[in-house]
Amino acid sequence: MIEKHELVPEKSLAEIEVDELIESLRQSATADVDETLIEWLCNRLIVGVQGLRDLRIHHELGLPLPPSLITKSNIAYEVWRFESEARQNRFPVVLVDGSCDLSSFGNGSTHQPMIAVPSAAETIISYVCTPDRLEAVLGDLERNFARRATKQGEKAARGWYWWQTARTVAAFGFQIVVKAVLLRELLRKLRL
Amino acid sequence: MVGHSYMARDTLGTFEYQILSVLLRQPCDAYGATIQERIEDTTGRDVSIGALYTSLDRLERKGLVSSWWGEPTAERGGRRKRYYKIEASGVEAVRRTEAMHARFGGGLLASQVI
Repeated sequence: MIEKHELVPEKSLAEIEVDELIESLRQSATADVDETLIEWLCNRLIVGVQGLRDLRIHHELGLPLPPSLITKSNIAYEVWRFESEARQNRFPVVLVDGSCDLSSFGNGSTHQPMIAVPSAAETIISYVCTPDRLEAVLGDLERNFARRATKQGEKAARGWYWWQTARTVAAFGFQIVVKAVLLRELLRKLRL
Repeated sequence: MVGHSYMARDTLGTFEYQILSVLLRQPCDAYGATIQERIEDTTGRDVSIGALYTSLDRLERKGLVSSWWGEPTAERGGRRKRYYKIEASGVEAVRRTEAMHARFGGGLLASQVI
């Protein structure tokens, strides 16, 4: 049976600063919660709110985090991911108090394990999608994939991702074919 | 033609009209996934993200929308959002398309019923 512990009972996650959150986590550690687990969560939060690995350097150098990256959805997502991974690894699970708003991440469920998007599908999209669009396209797909995995399960989410990949290839592939045909026509006319 | 201005006689396709309508209602923080969700919720149609971005690119080339990069988020695997905003010419295009549809089909079914 998984035990529950209150972490941040007074405020919602949206209202608190990251440092304050980490301090709350430390203070709420009880005897049956492994201290290293709390440490690990703190590190995950730091990495998570920065979003990119490069920005971790920002933190290690002691520079303030860009405020735009300390968002409610980032923190909520990191807490969700922590809980999912803790469940998978059979750690004593530390749940966020019900007052914390996790609605910005899907339906707020904390019972799905972390699932990676199909890497082969990502590779296929990266071949057909132009570099200026690729980051936005893959980001949107990953966001929707995570939400579907939470709501409908891994199998449905994977199926949806592959279906989106096929349609994305069709959309971008069609453009490539049209451009190729037009280029061939132009070259033909230039030769004449 | 890349970068041409939106011609006065042009009207929008159905999908372009739906995208611009979403941007009209969500002027500040619309990006690909939210536009996709909104169209799917409103129309019940399954929208592919690839088709959405090719249409957004076309609208941007016409000068009807503008875009900029947002912040990266963990939920998106550390990738940035591409935000979109409707421009004045986009609003005008929506208005023109709605006016054309009203002139062309307005009252057509009503007159058949009578």
